[in-house]
Amino acid sequence: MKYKLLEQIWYMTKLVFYGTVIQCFMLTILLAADINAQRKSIDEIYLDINLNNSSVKHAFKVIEKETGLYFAFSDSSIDKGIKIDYSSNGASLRNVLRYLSKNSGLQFKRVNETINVSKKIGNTEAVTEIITPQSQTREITGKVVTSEDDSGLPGVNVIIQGTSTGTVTDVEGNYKIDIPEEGARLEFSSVGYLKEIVEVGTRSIINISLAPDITQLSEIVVIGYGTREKKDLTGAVSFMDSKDIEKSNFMGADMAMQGQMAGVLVQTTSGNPQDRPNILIRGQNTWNRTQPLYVIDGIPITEFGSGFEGGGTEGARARDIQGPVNILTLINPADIESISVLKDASAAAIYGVRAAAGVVLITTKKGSQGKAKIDFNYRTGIKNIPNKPSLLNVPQYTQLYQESHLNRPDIINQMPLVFNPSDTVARGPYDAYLGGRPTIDWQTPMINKNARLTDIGAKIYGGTEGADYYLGTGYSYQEGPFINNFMERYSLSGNLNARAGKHFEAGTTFRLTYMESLDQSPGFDNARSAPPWQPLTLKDDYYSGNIPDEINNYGYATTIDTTSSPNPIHPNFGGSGQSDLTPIYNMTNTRKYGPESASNYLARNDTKLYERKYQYYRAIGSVFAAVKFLDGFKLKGSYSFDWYYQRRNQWTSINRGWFGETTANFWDAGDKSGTTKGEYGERHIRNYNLTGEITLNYNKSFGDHNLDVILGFMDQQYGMQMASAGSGQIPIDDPDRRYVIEATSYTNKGGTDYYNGALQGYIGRISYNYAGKYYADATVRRDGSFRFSPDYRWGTFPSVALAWRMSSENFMDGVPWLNDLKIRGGWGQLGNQDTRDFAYLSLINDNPQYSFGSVSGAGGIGSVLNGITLPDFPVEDLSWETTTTTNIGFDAILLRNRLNVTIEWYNKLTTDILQSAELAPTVGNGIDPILNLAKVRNNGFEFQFGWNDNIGDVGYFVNANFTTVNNEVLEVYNDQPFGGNSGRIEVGYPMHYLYGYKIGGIFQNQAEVTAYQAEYEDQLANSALVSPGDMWFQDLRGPANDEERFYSETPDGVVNTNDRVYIGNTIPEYFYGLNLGVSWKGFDIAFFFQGIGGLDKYNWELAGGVAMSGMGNNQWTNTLNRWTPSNMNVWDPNNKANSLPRAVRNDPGSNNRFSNRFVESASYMKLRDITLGYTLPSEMLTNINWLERLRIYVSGQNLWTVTNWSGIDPENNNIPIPIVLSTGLNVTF
Amino acid sequence: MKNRSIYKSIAILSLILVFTTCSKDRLDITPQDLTESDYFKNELDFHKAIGGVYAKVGEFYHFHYNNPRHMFYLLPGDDLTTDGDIPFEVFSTLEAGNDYVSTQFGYAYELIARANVALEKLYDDEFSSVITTPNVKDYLIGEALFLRSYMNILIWNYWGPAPNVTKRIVSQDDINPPSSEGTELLDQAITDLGEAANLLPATWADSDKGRVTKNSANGLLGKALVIRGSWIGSNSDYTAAITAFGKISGASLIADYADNFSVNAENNDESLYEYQSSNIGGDNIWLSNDVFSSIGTFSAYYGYFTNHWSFWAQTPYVATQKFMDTFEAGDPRAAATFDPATGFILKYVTRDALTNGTTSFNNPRILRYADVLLLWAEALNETGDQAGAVDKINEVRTRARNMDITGVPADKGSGNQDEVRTWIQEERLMELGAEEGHRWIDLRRWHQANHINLATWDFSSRKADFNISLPKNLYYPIPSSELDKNPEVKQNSGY
Repeated sequence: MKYKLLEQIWYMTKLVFYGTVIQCFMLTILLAADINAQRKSIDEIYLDINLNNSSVKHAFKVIEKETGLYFAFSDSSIDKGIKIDYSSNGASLRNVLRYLSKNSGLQFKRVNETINVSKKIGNTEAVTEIITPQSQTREITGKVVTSEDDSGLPGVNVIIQGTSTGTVTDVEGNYKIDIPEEGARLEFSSVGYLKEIVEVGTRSIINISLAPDITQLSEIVVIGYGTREKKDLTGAVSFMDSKDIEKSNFMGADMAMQGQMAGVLVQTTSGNPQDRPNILIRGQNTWNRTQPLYVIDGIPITEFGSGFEGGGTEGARARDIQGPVNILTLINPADIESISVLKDASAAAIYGVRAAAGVVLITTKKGSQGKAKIDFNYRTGIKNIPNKPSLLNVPQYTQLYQESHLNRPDIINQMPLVFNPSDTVARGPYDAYLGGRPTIDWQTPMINKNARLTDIGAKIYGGTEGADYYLGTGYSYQEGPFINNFMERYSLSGNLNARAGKHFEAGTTFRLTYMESLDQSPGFDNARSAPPWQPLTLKDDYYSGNIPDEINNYGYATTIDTTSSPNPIHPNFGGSGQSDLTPIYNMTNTRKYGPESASNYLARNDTKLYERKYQYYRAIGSVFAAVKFLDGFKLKGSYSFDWYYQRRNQWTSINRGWFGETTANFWDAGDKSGTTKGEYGERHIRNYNLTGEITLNYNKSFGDHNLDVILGFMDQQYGMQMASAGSGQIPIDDPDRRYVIEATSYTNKGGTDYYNGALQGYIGRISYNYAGKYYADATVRRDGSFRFSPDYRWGTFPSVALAWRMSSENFMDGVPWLNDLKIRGGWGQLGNQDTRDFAYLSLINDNPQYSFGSVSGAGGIGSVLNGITLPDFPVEDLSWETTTTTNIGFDAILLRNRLNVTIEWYNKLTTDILQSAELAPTVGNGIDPILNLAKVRNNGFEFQFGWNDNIGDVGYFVNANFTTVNNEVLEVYNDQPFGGNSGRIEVGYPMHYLYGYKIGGIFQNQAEVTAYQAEYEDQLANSALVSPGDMWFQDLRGPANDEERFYSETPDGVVNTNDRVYIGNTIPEYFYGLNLGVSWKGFDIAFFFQGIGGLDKYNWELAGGVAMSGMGNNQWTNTLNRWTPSNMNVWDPNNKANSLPRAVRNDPGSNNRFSNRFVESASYMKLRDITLGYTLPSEMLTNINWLERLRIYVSGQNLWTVTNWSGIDPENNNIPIPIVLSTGLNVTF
Repeated sequence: MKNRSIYKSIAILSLILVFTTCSKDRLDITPQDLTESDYFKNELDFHKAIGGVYAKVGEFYHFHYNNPRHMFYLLPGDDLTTDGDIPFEVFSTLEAGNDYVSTQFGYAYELIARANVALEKLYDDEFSSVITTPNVKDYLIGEALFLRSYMNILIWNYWGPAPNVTKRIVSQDDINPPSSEGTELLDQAITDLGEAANLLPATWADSDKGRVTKNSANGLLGKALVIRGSWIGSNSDYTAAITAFGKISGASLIADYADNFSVNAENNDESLYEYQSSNIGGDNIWLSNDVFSSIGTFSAYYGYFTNHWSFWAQTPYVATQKFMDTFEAGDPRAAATFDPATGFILKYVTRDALTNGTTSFNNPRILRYADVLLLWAEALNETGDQAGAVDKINEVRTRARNMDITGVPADKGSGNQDEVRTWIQEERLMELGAEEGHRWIDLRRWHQANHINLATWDFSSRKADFNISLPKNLYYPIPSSELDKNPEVKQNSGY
């Protein structure tokens, strides 16, 4: 099936070269009409030519020159190796052609002025002729060009309307045609272009410009186990091709989808290039796995731990083992031909139990018949963070913390001395007033200014009749916006397909990637954690302290000073401890710059005292063989593997502690003698994924009845194996010489772990349509998953879809402005199997330890033994989650194909959600069982709109999409709400809502405090210490009672945990994308806007930046507007970042509790991209025959954001999304 | 045509191949951990299953990952108090959402569930036939019954009519066990302990010291009977208790009272049951024993007595003035029990071997023969044998004096039933105070039996807001974690 797609795409793209042949072939049928004696027959044309070692093409040229006739042929049909030596000596043209035919294996068909050339097949006549009447005609000439760049269009059919007479344009787009004298109309048509009909009138020259038919160009869409023309789709499928993907600046294909497709939400998580974007298709249907299934060239990608994303200890472990990198970045986007997103059940049901969150099909590029071509692309750029949070300088900071302590007279004596100018008592150097120190900028050194971005790729592709090939290679390097953060990728890919005869084909695909990454990036939060007087570098380090030269040689300021003293327990000092278990010295640490002295991030990262480096190797490949038999049957078998190896090396120098807030005892590591240089560990993880598949396809048309049937079977085995080793006793501090020796007298740590999974599935789909008017699809998949017990592991996922293409009906013929109109609807069920492994089994936990045999004189210790427990409450009938989707959509193409509109309504109801249910304690289970019981609904609308036209030379387009999501939890176990402040799940609310207190305002005077406290008891506040300037919170609910099991809606005069309510929605209610573009001659400019709305987030950075209650970490300058007796009435519910209470140590009023005070709308609209490009017009390239295409461009990303969010970036305040400026070029040879 | 048939055959053959080679067995993935069906295949597996039940006892005594829970049973009595705002000390603030109420409740039932799993397998010959060593199956059943009874008594003592779970719960139909009725939990314990006493061995080899014996079962059985007797005023319970205590053989008071709290005199002749606190190099007090093999904690914790840093500046639990004043001048137990200047409790912590500076190997003694003797005395006194009762009291008092012969006379002489009651009450405070929460359990049953009135009782609390509400506070609330999930459970009245 992929062949059909690739042939089609190839065909579209390289139309210029093939059109001619095809059109000529069509003409030969068209022109099967009368013979006209006025034209000379080939038997009457006599030639006298001499060919001397000339090519076939040269022979054609010579004949063209002599006869005025024109040869139409495709390059590929002519064997360049054939040389002709021939003198015609006045032979007839028929004989000349016969001679050529004999020597070149070609056959010729003369049609009026054209001689069509094709490969000679069998015993057909080598030379044939058709001539039409020429009476009462006149000649029209002209040129057909494309509206894209005004270059000539070869191979355009030019037909006299209502007749079968016509011609085709030549290589330059010129044509010549004889038309009847009166009333003729010419019809210009070419595949991929909009048809034009022109009244000839009295004109003798007619030049015309044809506009490309965009909708037709993209009309082949990859669907599950096949392809389909866009007009024939019945399900909800979004599609983008390589042109769109190449425009994106990202290392992974997932980011390329951002804002481009209705229903597909791609949330950027941070500016760190290796962070995974969060992809949601039509909302979030479960609190288990919400990431879609990725299928690359038919290989379903399975990543270890995919069932654990929900969280908990297993989730954290899975994330740790997966590593930080998004595995999709291991696929070079330049190798991707297309991405299809299957959004509803009728499209995705063929992927069964893995498809509930949607399916993303990625198809890579393949070669196609034709001469070899080379594409080369290069891009380079820089990234910068737009701005920085504004932090307090030393005087402002000192003032703030003095004030916060003065506001707590009861503990004023706890004010750190560093804030107290009047404290003159001599103590150690580290207990001194520091308010007079200069401000150190902690932010600038952490920023990686002009972070680099480079992407280079080359590929060569082509093919012959029997085989096609594609080879691609790429290099990509991206730095993050902060120091010590990069990703580097080398990739190689290849596809090869071979055909033997008409019946057999086979192929292979492979891609290899090596990637390296470093993620030790600090974030803006790190800068805020330090007092502004703390130095970063040695030259500013005003307390040199008791620091060894070795540490000073790094050139950075230490955070702590340490003193050490002999450990009396150590035998060296007369103690009774064992020398290999007792540290030889004890150590005492002092923070040098006050209680909030922070880790010197610059030293901890820049000096390479700590390194955590990841290396990834990935190989994905497949082989297939297919045989076509009988009439319309095709049997295909394929086998694929995905092997993925991850290595993590982690080094921690023993010296690192000097730059941290605390340090472990240097003498407590390794052999306890202080000789180790540090700790080193490696972890090796191998993932494998083997998939075998066999499909039988039957595709046939019976008149107007078109039938396509597919049956198949799939078997997938996948898993992970891990091995790790580490030692705290590394004697050599040299980055190139680190390893863990196999056995030492010291304790090395090591372990292995593994995980296996398996899935089998049967697929079946019947697609039927009648004359392109009525469509019916029925799909069923039956899946068996290892996750469930044998009796409950097989699930059936059916779907049906119907469509009516109204525009194909006769009664719609009279609506000239409507080009296409289709109404479709589908229903189906999808599954989600991802939950804790073996939750259906009762596993043995052999951890519990106990001891027996402690008798007199045993020192209280007996023999330690391991017991067992069966902690599970196994639920044997555990099974998959089911998402039932209903989809109604309509597609229309209007106004001469310039406007296309798609509107869809969807409803996804997920039932039997695998909820980890907390049972009553009396059951006594140790691990919560997984039960199939919760229910969540998502529904909404999708709008997709595109307009494409030109005004004279200026072409322009507008593409927009808009999606709404309405999420609601319908059922949970026992109706009991669960989940914490930042992600509560409760019936009747959207999933993961923000759950906290609601602020009332700020007490302006003591009278207000007294009045409030008379009425309410705020159990989170220390009432005696609440003062004007503190915030008050609303009493909204009361305790549970007999009718209301979890909380009462009736306020009880007490503000406590019962009063936490819905304070924000974390699932975007709508999102959209907008692409605008203009082109003129070779220039094009495009704008891409993307946005999210109806989204709330808890602004953690704001909460930390204006807390004003600690012992002295830095704060945002917003705090300058804090409530003071001289700055009252700062409360403004619409300006949360600047509505601040008083500064007070330890926050007795609990102003900083989790409340809507820090919940802000994280909605935004971003100008994601502007690209200005120039493509060399084809006229300029005609003389450079080795160059086919050249385009250069400059692009700017994330240039402009519209948001009400406080801070740098609503997507990430800590590591913001950087502005990217880049330039690049694409060349095709 | 020839080609066609070839292709046809290829197609058919391929399909046959697919449906035969891709066996469904490939979906049977073996999990990394052993499963229940792999287990209980040999005798050792059964020992380990019982070991898992013993291990759970640690939840009541260890550091509990930074949040020791001992206040739950130590503070409500009149022997210990604190300056902290702790509901178990002041009563009035105790509510169903209290985390300690909830976790202790949960651990008790988790232990019961483990015992029930072991019993299910032991009672099923299909599994337990692999136990070939003579009597071992009986021993193991006896241990499981004993440990389950220990929990049932504990649950009953704090929560009263909470659910009685006697079988492993495996079906979703059974996940809401109903509240029990009256003394049902005690009844269950009394039945089980009677059986356990018949099954358990009299002693274990030294390497198995710490496992429960016939004496353990008879001691706990008598204790349960005395508790039920005082609760429902049943003389037959007291009589049965006397019988049970009488079956104890070989146990005796050890010479030095303070050795009961010494790390070097664990599992001695006086001890009928204690938590086997221990430690190997990897004891990690921050991690649960169930979750991390070899590094999870199974030590004991006493930092609330020493105000250790790991108690995170909570206020220590100290002796009440009343407790200190109860001791007769010269009673050597006083010096082993508290520091008169500060009220700091010295039991366990002065004869200890601390590890990590935080936790201890020192076993908390759960059932001592001295406790048994005083309960025995109580049973005799309630059934009219005052002289017999005084003998038992004197046995305890004499041992106490024997550690220091210069002490006051031990003998109590003779007295009437009320006098002997008072003597027993005082003696239990002096002998058992600050251990195991004995005091609160005694007080509430004596209140119920009308021997004392808690409404006017001197709790000697340091808390000004101390306020006990009766009968509400005779029980702790059923935790909301249970009520929220289990509609079959009734809250105790007043909460």
